[in-house]
Amino acid sequence: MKSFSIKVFAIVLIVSVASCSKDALRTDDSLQQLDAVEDVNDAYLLSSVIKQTALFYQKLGYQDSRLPGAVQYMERNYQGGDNYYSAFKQPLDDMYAAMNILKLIDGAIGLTDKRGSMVHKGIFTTFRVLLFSFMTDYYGDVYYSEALKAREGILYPKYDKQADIYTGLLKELDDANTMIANGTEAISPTYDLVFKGNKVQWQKFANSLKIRLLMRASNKIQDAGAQIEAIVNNPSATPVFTAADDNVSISYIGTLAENSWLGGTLSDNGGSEFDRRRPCKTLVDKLTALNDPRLKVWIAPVENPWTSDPAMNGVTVNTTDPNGFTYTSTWELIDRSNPDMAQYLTPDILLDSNKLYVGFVAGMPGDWKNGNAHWNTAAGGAYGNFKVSKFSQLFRQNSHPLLKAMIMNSDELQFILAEAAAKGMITGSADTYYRNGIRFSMQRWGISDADINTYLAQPAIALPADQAGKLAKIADQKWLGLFFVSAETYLDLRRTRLPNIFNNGYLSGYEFPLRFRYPANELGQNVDAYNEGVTGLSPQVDDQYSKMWLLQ
Amino acid sequence: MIKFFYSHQFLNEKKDNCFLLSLRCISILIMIAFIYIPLQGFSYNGPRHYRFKDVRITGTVKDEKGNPLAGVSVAVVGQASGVSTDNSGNFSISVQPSAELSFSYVGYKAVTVKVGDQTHLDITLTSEASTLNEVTVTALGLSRKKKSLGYSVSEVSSEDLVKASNPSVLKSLDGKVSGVNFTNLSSDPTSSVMVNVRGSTALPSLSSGGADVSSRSQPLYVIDGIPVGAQTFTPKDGVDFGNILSQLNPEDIASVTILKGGSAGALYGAQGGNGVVMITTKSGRGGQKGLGVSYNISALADQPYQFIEEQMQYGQGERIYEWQYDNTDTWGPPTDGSFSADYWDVKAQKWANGPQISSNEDRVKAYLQTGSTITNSLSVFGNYDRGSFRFSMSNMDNKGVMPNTKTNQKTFNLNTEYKITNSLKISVSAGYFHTYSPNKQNSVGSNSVLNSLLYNFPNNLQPLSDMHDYWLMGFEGSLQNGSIMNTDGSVANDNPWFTTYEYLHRFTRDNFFGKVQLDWQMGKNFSLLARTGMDNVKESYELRKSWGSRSDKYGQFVQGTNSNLLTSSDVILTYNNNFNKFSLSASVGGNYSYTNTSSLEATADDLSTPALFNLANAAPGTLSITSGANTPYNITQGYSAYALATLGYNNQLFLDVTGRKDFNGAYPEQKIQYFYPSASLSWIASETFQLPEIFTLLKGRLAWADVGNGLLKQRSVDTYSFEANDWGAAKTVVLNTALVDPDIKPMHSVTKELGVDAWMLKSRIKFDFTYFEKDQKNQLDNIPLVPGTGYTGLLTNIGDVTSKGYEIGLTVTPVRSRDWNWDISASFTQYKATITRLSDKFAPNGYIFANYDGKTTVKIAVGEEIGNIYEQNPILRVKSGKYKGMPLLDGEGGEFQVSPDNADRQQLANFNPDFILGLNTTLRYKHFALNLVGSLRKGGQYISVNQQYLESNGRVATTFGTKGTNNPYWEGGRNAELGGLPWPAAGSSQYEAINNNNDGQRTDEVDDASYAKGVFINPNYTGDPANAKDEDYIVNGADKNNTFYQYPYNSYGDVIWDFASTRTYDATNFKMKEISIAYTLPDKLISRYKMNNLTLSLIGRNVFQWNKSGRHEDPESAFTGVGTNQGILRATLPSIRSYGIKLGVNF
Repeated sequence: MKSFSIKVFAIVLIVSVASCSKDALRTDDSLQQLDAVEDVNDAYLLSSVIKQTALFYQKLGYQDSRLPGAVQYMERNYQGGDNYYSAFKQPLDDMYAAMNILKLIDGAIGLTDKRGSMVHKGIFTTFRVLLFSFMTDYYGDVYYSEALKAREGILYPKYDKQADIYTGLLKELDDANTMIANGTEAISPTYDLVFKGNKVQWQKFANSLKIRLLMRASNKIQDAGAQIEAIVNNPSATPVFTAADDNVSISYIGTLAENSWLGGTLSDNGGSEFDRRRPCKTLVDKLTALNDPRLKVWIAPVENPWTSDPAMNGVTVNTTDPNGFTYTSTWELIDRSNPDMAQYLTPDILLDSNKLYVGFVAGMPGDWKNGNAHWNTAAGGAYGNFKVSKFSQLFRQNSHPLLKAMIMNSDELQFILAEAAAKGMITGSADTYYRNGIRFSMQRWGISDADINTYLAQPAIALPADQAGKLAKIADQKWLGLFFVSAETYLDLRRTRLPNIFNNGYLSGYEFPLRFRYPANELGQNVDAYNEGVTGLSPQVDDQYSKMWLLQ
Repeated sequence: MIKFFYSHQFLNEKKDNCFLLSLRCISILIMIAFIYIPLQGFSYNGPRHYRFKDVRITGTVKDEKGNPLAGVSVAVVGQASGVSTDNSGNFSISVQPSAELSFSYVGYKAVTVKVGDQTHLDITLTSEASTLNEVTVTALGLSRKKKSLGYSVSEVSSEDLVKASNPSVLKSLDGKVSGVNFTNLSSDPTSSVMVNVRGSTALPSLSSGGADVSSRSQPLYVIDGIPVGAQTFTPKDGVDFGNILSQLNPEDIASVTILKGGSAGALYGAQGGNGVVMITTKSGRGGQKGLGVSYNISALADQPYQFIEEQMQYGQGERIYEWQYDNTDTWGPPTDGSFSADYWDVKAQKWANGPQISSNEDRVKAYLQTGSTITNSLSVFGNYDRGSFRFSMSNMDNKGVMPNTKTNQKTFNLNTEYKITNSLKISVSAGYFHTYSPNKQNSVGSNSVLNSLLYNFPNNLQPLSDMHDYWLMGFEGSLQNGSIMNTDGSVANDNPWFTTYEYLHRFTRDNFFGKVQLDWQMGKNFSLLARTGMDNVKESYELRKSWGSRSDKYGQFVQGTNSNLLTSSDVILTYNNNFNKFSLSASVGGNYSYTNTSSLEATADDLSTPALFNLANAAPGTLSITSGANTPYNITQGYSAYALATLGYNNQLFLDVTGRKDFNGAYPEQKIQYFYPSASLSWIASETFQLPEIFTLLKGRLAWADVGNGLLKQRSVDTYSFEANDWGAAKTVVLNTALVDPDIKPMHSVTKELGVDAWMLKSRIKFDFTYFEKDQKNQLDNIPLVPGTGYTGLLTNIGDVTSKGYEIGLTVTPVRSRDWNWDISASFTQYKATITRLSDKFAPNGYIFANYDGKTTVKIAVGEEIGNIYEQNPILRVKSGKYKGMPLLDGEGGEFQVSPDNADRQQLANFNPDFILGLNTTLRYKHFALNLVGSLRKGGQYISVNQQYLESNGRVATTFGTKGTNNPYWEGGRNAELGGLPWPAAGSSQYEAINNNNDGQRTDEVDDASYAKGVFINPNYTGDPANAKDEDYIVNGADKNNTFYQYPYNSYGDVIWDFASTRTYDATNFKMKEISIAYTLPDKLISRYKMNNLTLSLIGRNVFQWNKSGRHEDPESAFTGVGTNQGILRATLPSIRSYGIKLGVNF
């Protein structure tokens, strides 16, 4: 047995030596993977930042009906609190959604710094400004200089004053423009979902965004006009949007819910949400009054329009809209001899008879009984409102060449410049900028040049001589141009109070909210900063009516 | 297999510690030695076929004092045949001369004698108390004398595990062990069991949604000395697929030992903090010489009982006068035939119109079937001079109580032992365990059939038996014949048979277990143990959903795999010696462990072709792949060194000291080390003092330990991962972040215990008592941060939880005679765990509420008891004045309002029982044995989500109106007879808000006005609501013209959703866990067939259940989803009783 033990130990010895090898493939492999996932190349970062930001804005612009409701593009005919600003009562978490993208951008900027890819750093910086401006514009004082620094030990970031944030953001945009201009690396055309690798276009975005911010703060920044003029007058150093396709927006892919337009069949499977979102009467009436060719692009004819002509009762009309979508409308007689119907034919309910395009009254509670209602609930259900238009079938598509997730369009800049010119902040022709704006917007929605020219030739379009009249018309068109870019429309409406739609429909009893309340978690987890932030408001109350620095 | 894993593992190690590496080398030695063993050692060397003539042996059995002992069992070793002594202690038996006889009697030490050429035997039995040398398995698999242990361990022997043929080892422990709470995930016999040793001390978590049942609270499992981790189970889409413990064959288990306190488990270092469950499998050793065969078969029927009662009087709709055929709520018209309506005739598959009549069918009862569990188990064992072996095979087939569900388990297990020399022994074990479920159904959650049948299946729908054709004729495979259809042809409610046969969860688990152990007695004082083992679990899972379901028109296919390799090797050197009155046993050792896990899941969200279940059939753009979240952090490894010493004095005082140091971390930045000490003292007072004779044993225990609970150093990371779906031609990434406190400390638990063991009246009474404190310190969790930091949370040490309690075990043998024997044992467990410290960072205000199941919350604060559940939506109440405490209704619709103030949140429940009492009794008469196991859980509450949906959907009689049983927050009813009030005329209120509200709901058809009980502020009041005076309030309902009315569907739904307190129930229950009656045939009848120990048993499990609340729900299944949120009960299976027979025989 002794010899057996010796044999065994000999084997142990040999195996021990053999197994003390330096082969560490598995752990090295894993470490390499670990390093790899902490780094990612510029192209992937670019596509991701663009995608996330565009979808963020589209959510604000359409999906959350709070802002499209507040600016009267859209009303809900079911659970209609957004028709009269209800959602502004609660603390809102949208700044957290922006922060999540900012964290991605912050990481991206860190990585571009390491690699020295200055063009990308400039682009990312522009997005950084965009999202920080969203935060301060909607909330007031927010974290900025101490944001995103938990790795440096800042677990409770303080809020910066809005004035200081604006100073910082404008400076960052200058830097961004310089970095993009001076950077040498190429942008991947595939991964640049917006401009296909054309870096001058990104410079245009940075500078146009700066003009947007300057105009927003123009009553606080004394030389805002001069600054805008300086940018506009130096197109080689600071190019801005000048063409109808200078738009920061991306097309949808349309294969999955997550890459499709939010009203499309993939996102909104049964279409019940689509059916609950109706164009606002304010929008439909404005488009109708101006013979706007965008009406038929955006709005569908009513399914069962009211008629007061007995001969029309039951007559069916087929409509094909400019994008080839078809609709069937069947006229229904206003029959006061039908007792069931008669009780609903009150002035409140019976609106817009004898019209194919009808909007939902602004500020109306979302209920079948109200404005333009169908009297037969059994046929309609809670949201089968056949007397009000829906949005056109364009907005029921998963993707379409005209459907974009929009961040900022070129027509917006033209309207800003028109306003600046009308106010005398800059030299230049308000009328030219105004007409360019209308043209760019219509081109964006596929309107033919001939139709645009017809539209522009109408006397109702021409700018009047007086400044107030000019500004009102510019604001009307800017409001139409910003259709579904609701986040910007709201800020514009808040700043200019134009177009004056605040007392439309049932809204006269409701005060227009001026800001978002801070998210509840700020009170829970960052209370000192929160309290300091509230002191920046006037009055010093965290509600939707307090004024931030921009409005003080 | 064993060789395979070694080659695999060794490739991947770094040469960083040659000393510890040698552990692995020794493991290889064992493996090679095994290969070299001459296998003929196991074969039989003698002429076994020849049989000697039986000889008759007579004799007498007496005790130490010379008194004859009656009823002593005289048995032939290895056979069950035997006799008992008569009243004079005499016996007579015929045996082979080669046989050994064993003499055993309760309270006395058993004696085994070789017959040889003797014909008369005089035997003296000594009482156990004088020897007390029973041994038990302790940490690291070391056998220790029980009397020397300074801590409490619970042991359950094989016999008690298999009496009731429970397919799960863990389930059969309930009611038999003190200090441990076993909670079934559901009443399904194949469901998983959650084990809490001495109370769950896991802090409610902010990051994982409440005090979930995660591995954070589960004990470490050790099988034959190889730690296999803290097992939870594999949940998929609401289906519980069990874990490796549910795969073990109970017939293979020799014993289960639960190391409850820290001292008992301290040698497991960083893993032992929640207690240790040690499972020892049977070997061939100790049996008869030669070959034996044992066979068992059991067949049980599993029958559901205790069904929730639903109302059968009212059908689909929201109001009593209006039929809504596409509705799943039953607030509609009566189903007594008085109301005719259009409906979808499911059987005829066409629209029809006719009177609506209740089917009077209990849907759950009609749906469920009697299941069955059939288990076959065969083992072959051999015991020889040089070694022994045991090989077993088993097959378990379970047909579920839910139709079309099955589980099959097969096990193969081999344990061998060979003595290379008299001092060197090698043991090898190998096991293969296989589970296959062609389909197991989701039994919880919103997409389960049970959920649909309970809440969404109005009584007027046809009987389930009329719905078996679940495809629309001519559209088989693509369009469903729903139980409720919409007029546009889409499905409004799924056909339950569609879900049963076209929504399948398929699962396979293969588990390979292997172990090699070398025991070497090196001279007189030294011995060496070297051991290595591994467990490799591979799971594969498929979800197959055909086209045509309501929510998923184009089906789904998911295919996933998990793999988990775990290896562990130990080398332990032990020194044993006696110095006069002192004895010393000391060991040093080391351990190396390595785990490698991976998982991959691919989902085809839509299918291109119906019912073709492969990934290539994914509709374009719908295929996505997720791999394990922790990739590439899928490797862990750890080295440990440990030492222990037991110093004994004069056989009466024993001091135990242990220490273990763990070195963990596979990557440089993860490396961490920590030391875990323990000490315990055992004093046998009955040896020190001359105690009255009534005491057989009196022992005191004292123990202290500091053990670990997870030891992994993490670092802050920002990592990018590609999104599953590209944006067109562009890939996109998401950022994943984790922030870790740089000063983070490992979690550990400090435990203290104090106990007494007292055996009295010749061990006829055995009593043990233990008081314990377990302090789970430095628990880890994420402190929530605002996103402005760039992170959602910071992983840090958040606080401590202390559990205090006591456990009592009592065994009494009131009757002991030749023919009769009666044993009663009871286990009592009581504990309470409270939060004792919180990090200031974590709860700057002193407390914080964490989300629980979405409808309730848990409070995290110092002094808060673990298991407390709070309201999600505290009702806003008047703060002062005459109406103080009354709900403050809103001024627009008269509805209850949610208070924004956390201080208003009321505690609803605590899911922990006040105590658990397990009762176990065995009564033997001659060849008959009756065994009963019951368990009483006293106290604790649960919240019934069932009741919430039943009420808001109008499914139960409590929703009829205030003239029946009802909740206190609502007045009204479905019509006047049931308590409904007349609607006031239009415009009859002086307040516009009230008119607006009431006008929108008024009907002339029926008096169904109802209202919420509370007060509202006068709508004309313009001041700050906080300053409202008594006169500014109006009591809703006091003046019918100034009352906010709602119709019942609106207001009752509101009430029941807001007031979780109305659906909180006492969880006190008693369950008759096991009943068995066994009859063992006298061996003389069957020995001619070379059989022995032929036992036939009648078995019942869970035959009876008493719930204090009177509700037909099993409070012990109170989990919302699979494995989450104890204390929240939702659409689980009804209770299930099992009964059947078991037959066992040895050859």
